[in-house]
Amino acid sequence: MPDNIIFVKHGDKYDPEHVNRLRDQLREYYPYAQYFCYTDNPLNVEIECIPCFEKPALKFWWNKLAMFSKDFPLEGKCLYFDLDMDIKEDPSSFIKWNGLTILNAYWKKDMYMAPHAYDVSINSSIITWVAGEQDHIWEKFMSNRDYYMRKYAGIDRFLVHEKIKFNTFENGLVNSIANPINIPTPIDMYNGISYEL
Amino acid sequence: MNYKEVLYENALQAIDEIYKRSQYDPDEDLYRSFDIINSVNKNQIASKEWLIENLVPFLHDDIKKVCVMGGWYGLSALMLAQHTNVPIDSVDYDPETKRIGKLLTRGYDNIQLITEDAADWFFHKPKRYQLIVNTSCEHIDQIDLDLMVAMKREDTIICFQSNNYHSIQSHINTHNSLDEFVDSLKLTEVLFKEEMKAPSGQYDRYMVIGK
Repeated sequence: MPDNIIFVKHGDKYDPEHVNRLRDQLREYYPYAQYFCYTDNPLNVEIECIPCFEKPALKFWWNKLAMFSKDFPLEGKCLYFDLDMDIKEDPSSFIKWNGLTILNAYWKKDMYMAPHAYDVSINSSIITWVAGEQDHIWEKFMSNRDYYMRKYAGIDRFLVHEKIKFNTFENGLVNSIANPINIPTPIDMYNGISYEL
Repeated sequence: MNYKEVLYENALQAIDEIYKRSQYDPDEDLYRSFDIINSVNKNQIASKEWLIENLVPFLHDDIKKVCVMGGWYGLSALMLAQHTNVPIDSVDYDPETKRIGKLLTRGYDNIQLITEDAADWFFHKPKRYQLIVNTSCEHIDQIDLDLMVAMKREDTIICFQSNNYHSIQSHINTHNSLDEFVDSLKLTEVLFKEEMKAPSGQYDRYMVIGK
């Protein structure tokens, strides 16, 4: 069971209601976890907020990497969710803590990926790790962050192509709405597609 | 050949070397060649020419040492070196910029390429320079810009550029107008300020020269 369930909300792509709703959905299965939102704007967020680091200021999804910093003020098992998820059933049988663990992007399995496009077949919409044990990811990013932000369109590509060690959850944890898996899954994910609350 | 032709020739050579190495080394970074191309694209050249045109009148005799912060592959330093022989330190924390920058700026003994976080570099020697150039303030935390202005010598001239290109991931400190940018720096004296539309038409670039 997770000690901490974390969301990241930066900018105005998502509303506080996305955070509050996801908290409500997950609380049914994880009533004893603590819920946190790492955000630049805590207004109307109903769970404890961790303010985004003042330095370096980061935009969009790059803020997710700050969760791995040794300065991120949490301890214990962490479970992260992107805000465009819909929790339909208990996902616990799929959730494990084994180093850094992320999703296998089953929908990209047969996609052509030119090496210099840096596309990847993993997805960091759900992540597990133990707080403080993945600081090397943050350190690696910080060592040349502007270059990495130019080179990679997102953190998934950064993780794979900078050779960060990770594991993946078993298939069946999520269903990508844009690319249905056609088996029952506990979680629907929208991959940035707009959806109604 | 003029310096710009030499620059392009050197940039092509750097890209050529990357391609050749990539044929045998799976770890060769092909994106680096795209990054070199971007560093000398028409937006970069135009913004630096604009900088030089307006900064040269302030290159007087009591400027003994220049610091270019976030100097990338050394384009700003190279263009400044067309107008001054004083030492120019071009500081960038990307370790590859030194190796490639040496190629792009070869022949200019007064340019020193330094691998270091530009803000940290400056904070350890805030009185060393009489001119500080930073053409990428949109990448720099505001807290660091505030400290630079506060820690520099009173008579040190700063020439800073930023922009309103908000959509770029690494642009963490953009502004909505020239005046907003100038006001954010809290300078004691503004010697020059102007804005320019990027050749691509995608954004406005702001520049301020002051103390």
